[in-house]
Amino acid sequence: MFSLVFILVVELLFFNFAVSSFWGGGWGSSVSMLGDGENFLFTSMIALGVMFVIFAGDIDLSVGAMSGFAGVMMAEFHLGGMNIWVAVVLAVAIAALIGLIQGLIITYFKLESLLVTLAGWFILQSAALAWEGAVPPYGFPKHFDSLLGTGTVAGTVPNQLVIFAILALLATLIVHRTRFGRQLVLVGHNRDAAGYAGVRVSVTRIRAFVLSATFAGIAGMCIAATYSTADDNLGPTLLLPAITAVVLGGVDIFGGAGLVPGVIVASFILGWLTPGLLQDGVSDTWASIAIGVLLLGSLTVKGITDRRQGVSMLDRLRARSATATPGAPPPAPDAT
Amino acid sequence: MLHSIQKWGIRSRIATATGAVALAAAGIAFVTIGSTTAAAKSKCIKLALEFKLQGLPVFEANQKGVNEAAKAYGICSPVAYGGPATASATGQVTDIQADISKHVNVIAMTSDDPQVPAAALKQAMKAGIKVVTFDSDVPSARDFFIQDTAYSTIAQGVINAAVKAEGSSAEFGIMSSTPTATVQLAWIAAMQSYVKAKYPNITWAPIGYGQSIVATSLTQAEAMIHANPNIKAILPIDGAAVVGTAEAVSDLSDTGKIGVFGIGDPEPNQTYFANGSLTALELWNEIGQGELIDCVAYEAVNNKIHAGSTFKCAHGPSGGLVNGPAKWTVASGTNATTGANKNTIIFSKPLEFTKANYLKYDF
Repeated sequence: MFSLVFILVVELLFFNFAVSSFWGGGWGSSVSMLGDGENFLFTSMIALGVMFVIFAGDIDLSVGAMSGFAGVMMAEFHLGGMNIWVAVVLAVAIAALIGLIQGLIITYFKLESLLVTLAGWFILQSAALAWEGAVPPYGFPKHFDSLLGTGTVAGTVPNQLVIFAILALLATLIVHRTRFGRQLVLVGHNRDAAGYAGVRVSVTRIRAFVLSATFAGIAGMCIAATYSTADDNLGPTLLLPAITAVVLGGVDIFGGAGLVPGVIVASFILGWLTPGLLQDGVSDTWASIAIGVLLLGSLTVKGITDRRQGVSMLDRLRARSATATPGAPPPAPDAT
Repeated sequence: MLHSIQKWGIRSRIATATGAVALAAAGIAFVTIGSTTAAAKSKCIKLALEFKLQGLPVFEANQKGVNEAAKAYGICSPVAYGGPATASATGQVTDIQADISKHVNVIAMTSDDPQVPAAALKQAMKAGIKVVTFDSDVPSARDFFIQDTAYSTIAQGVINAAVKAEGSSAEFGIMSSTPTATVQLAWIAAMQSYVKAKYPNITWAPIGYGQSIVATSLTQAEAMIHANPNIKAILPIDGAAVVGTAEAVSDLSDTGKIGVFGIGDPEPNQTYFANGSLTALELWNEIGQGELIDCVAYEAVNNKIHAGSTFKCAHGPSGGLVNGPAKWTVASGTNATTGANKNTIIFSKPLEFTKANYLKYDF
């Protein structure tokens, strides 16, 4: 955690000297690098959501498409005559419901979350495309664009940073201060043990999917407000950066370990890396390579320390597939 | 569990510390790259080119034209160019913001989305930067738009080529990119209305969508051929669709039975011109378009052009533009036939590529 903060400080200090427009017009002016927050904070929101699912040892590949679909839903409701805020609440609620359905399918039929949410990705993106038709919906009320998108508090703090701060605090409290959070991490650490300990494993996992979809839905609203348009294409590109932030933040990709503040800091590291390098005169292609190197570097070192402690990645993969094999000892009684 | 979190803490601390070292090393490398490519401070016009994505032959041809004519128009050379690694409108927004902070004079971009970059481009205009869009427009946030060709002319070119080869009472089918692509939609509408007026006996198979992916275009084209056994001509109107359709026609040994007439660039399709599965392609001269970008950037920065005015581009390396007319007009209002709207500059008449001339062009 401290070292993540250290990376962030190094990065910001570095850009402070390397990029002349680093401070620019200050926060929220968007001409400054620090004001670039509105270009990545919605990715951070999606990262917080998918983090719950990863904590529980699952994965949710539908979050990017979900945010795009939620945006298109909200836009179409609004352009159909609905009040914009009613449309926002309804769209996020439907996103949560879709998350619930995905969670139910995964736990009830005992399917791999990777495959079910991959199917969800295809369905949601295509549904958004079919719904938006030839011309993606655009043109929302100014107060909506400003409040969830490009507006600032007192001319300095971007509104989206406030929204993200609330969501981040909420996520930290949920994971580290509630019973559900403890159960979530335990389910990810060892599903069978959690079951024997009386944790309702399926309910816990389903809740994680609902949270993931809800956060993606909220991110979808912010994306629509930032660009004043909704488009099926806008969400899916955010999926991999979001998962990268979760993993770089130190959450175990197999679940069961990690700290929410790590994910928050990691999402800022990644968020500022691309615009910082671009403004320093480096092309987008090289910025992507830098992100890849950063991720690979930190994972490799983690792998090396794991091996020293006698747990190799391969062992953990074996352990994981062993529990998923039908011939394995009967799973723990499940209260769903 | 608390134990496991503590253990994770130590491991991750080492991991991220190493990450920090990697980042710092990468950073030093990038600074070196950055400082060598940064344009020297001078009085030349700083033009930033922004493509839909990097690495497409047509955009590289644009870039070639821009660089060839840059000096003649007082533009800093070589011209800085950007564009996301994948066609993403949000990636373009990040690039535009970097351009604003670098205080460029002109941004010339072809957009991945007609809406998404609007807010960032408006910000650029507010900061005194001239915005010129080309190929794909952002209608609400630019000073000038360079439209490739008049929609009606290129549509008529494709239809006339197909009718000449296959007759005026046959079944045709269009292969497009995605159902929301702006230019493709305009071309489809222009082709359909031209056929309705001039060749009423032509029937249409349902439109296929290749999603700008060659493999998908191939599948869609094969499906179109199987589902419409009487189809005489397929009209692919996107780069990937041309390759996919020509490949489908030669794979199914329908060369000669089904003609392919489309909109696209000749270089990636040399095989299909050679084996006869591709009959004709319409496009414009991408290198000449690059030179026009320089000319419009120059005129715009010096506030010489506005809606309704005409201008000449006589500074180019060959005393004018590649295949360009003597003068251009800035449209003052909307024109339904050409597709132009206010402050649009139509680049040129389409250029037709056939078996006779395809080897002459390297884009």
